[in-house]
Amino acid sequence: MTETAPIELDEPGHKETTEPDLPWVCIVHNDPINLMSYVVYVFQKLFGYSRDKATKLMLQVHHEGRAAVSSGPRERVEMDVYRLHAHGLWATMTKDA
Amino acid sequence: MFRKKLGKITADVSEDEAKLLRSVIGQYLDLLENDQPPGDPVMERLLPSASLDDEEVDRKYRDLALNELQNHKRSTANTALQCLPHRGPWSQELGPEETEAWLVVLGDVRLAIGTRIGVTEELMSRPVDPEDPDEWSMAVLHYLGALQENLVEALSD
Repeated sequence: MTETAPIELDEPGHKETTEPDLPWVCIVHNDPINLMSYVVYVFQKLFGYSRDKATKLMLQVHHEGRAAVSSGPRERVEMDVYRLHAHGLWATMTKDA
Repeated sequence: MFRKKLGKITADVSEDEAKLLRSVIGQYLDLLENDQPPGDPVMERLLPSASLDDEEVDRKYRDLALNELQNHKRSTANTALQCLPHRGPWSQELGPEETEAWLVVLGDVRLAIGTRIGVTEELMSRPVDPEDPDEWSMAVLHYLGALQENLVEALSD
């Protein structure tokens, strides 16, 4: 990834957290080191979320310890986990129960 | 300091700070380039498990991604390191790839230092005396955090 992200982006076509029947979910866990502003930036950049949505997810991670940030087929969620790890966030994947 | 000038990100860092950055990124790169003992908490944080409870999911992910992730982190650290002059202050207009590398490497170096000293949210919110040698790592952690925050802000301008 070489481009810096524009800050206010429209929601992308795929609804990452609202599709009920997609089998895999990517979860980001809280850690005491990453900056809140950086986490918001990463969510916007990797998933194309608006600043509002990215901030809500970051706060959910911070207060609840984790948040589901995307869902979809296994390969795509694996790629999301990889991109989050590449940005230093602690992410795991799980099958949507 | 990072700033956005005419749409470009520029770095303006004093000689002492540039020296510190060379040193901490160099140490981070050494860590990535040399085998660490199994279960090393820093490596487990930088290259985390992809599943909390399913070894099979994690194994498949690691088969697929671990080498690439390690190479990616090494190359990111190298890109950042190569921006820094061998001596003197650092002033430079950064390209998109260099900007991205700095954004990520500042976070990764903080993860490495913070995990090594077992930092908690409570510790992070405590004031640090930069003159106290026992608090050197915490002071570096805060300095790198301020720099990363600064870069995120410059990018959001």
